[in-house]
Amino acid sequence: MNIIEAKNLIFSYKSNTHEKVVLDNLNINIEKGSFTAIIGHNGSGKSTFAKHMNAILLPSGGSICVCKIDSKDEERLYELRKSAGMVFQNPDNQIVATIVEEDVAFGLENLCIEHEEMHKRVEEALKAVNMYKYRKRAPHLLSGGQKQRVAIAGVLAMQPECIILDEPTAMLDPKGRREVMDTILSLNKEKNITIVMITHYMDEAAKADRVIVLDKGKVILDDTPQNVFEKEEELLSLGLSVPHSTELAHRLRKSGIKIDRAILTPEDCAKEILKHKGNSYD
Amino acid sequence: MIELKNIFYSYSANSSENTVALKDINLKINKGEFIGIAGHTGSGKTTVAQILAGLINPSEGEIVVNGESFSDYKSAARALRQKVGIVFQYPEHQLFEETVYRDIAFGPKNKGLNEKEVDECVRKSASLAHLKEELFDKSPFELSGGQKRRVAIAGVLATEPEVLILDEPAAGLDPSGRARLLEELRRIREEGTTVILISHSMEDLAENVDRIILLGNGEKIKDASTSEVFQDVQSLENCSLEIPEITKIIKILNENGMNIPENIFTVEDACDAICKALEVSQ
Repeated sequence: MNIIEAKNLIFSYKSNTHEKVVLDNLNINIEKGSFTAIIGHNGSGKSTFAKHMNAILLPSGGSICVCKIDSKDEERLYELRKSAGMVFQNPDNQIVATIVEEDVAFGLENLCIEHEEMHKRVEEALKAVNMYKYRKRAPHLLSGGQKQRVAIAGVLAMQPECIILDEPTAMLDPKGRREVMDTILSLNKEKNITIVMITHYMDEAAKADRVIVLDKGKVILDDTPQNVFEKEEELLSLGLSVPHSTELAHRLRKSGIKIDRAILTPEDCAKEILKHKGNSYD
Repeated sequence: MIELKNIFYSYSANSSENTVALKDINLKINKGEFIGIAGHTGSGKTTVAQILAGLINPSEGEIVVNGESFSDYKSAARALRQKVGIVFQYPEHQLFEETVYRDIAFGPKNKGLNEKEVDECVRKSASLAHLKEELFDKSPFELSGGQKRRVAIAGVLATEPEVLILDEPAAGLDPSGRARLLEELRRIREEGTTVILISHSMEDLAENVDRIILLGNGEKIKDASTSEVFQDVQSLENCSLEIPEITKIIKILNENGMNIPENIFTVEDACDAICKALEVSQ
């Protein structure tokens, strides 16, 4: 089943002199329970596409449906946003309350959810992102990674089918990045929540099931991370790169060292290299 | 050139308690160096940068500029401000003039240079920041994210600082934008400017800077050459940082009986070293 269906999706805006096409006839389906990463250089249309999945922007042409709801259907706008929650780059812009658990409850209060149910959902959401023990804290005293996890909990409390994250780790330190990535992966694998994540970090994209590469508002590549990152030269020409481990594997292969499979992580890379060391003792 | 001795910085979060942001920081900035500052969010990186740039005064400690120790912080700050230029996080938010040219010209104009000198200064810093002259008459707000950031950097370069501090200059840029920016920094350094790069990206630090200052919870944890810092996994982990991907691979290889120098950080060097090690063992 598809959670998101974009059909001939076009988005353009007019400045005083010319028309700029940002999304150029996109056809993308996102399947329920999948983890998709979207990469592309600055200005490729990634964030514009993300904003269509949450009806923050509406198509100029074509359509996008989220959980079978057309984003242009104004009467079902809340239903759509409940099904597909969005997390942005800067955690400080997303936190509204002065206590963590109140922040997570904010969306639910607006939906007039009963008190007991609200309590239960906030608790579950905070546990899912591993922030339950901070529930009474003031958000401004948390680290960036912790704040971002509170923002994810706020979306999670709405019990969405799908979470869209627009560069959620761009402003975080390495530990914060790891915490947020671990959270995203566990929500996908354990709670079966569909994830669409936009990122500039190739090593994060490598953790998804599927990588979509956008350029000038068009899909250029759409495949498993293994297959996408095999195309190093094409990615470089699009202003992107591959994870360092993948790059090293490509170089070693060019130098005549046999590496059969696609490499995405340092562990994989080391394992393949060590096979050759083993051979030398035969 | 600049020396901080036993620097403390604290601010009052509320009237009753003081929060100590920096504890007993000692560091030296020598002419012509390319220095990295790393640490988790809240470790004090930005506070150190602001003190070095003369934007805030320490609560305690001594500041030495060109061998002269200042008794009052006010004159120390004045001396620092003449020497040090700082590019803040997301500097594109600070652009304010009607055209790119005027934005870059703002600093030199304020210094009281005549029109011809200002013009020379603008052209020189624009070219250093890889900014084409055909953009001069555009509004900064019409530019792409990467271009805007280069305008902001050119604006700081135009004040001709001896020391350039950049706080996470590559955050939010795509891989090619990041690579170009780092190349510019290397060139600016070659032209004789001392560069201090604050970054969460261990890869960017590993491939560029000569020396790294590690901060954790407001204290200096380590201050040593890049290769020394990345071999000290314990200190990095204590600071919630990670080792670069290439270092990770080499560590696994060496734990499994290979013998590869651990002071290698670029993909090229790693490939050569691994090929050599495999040949030797065969």
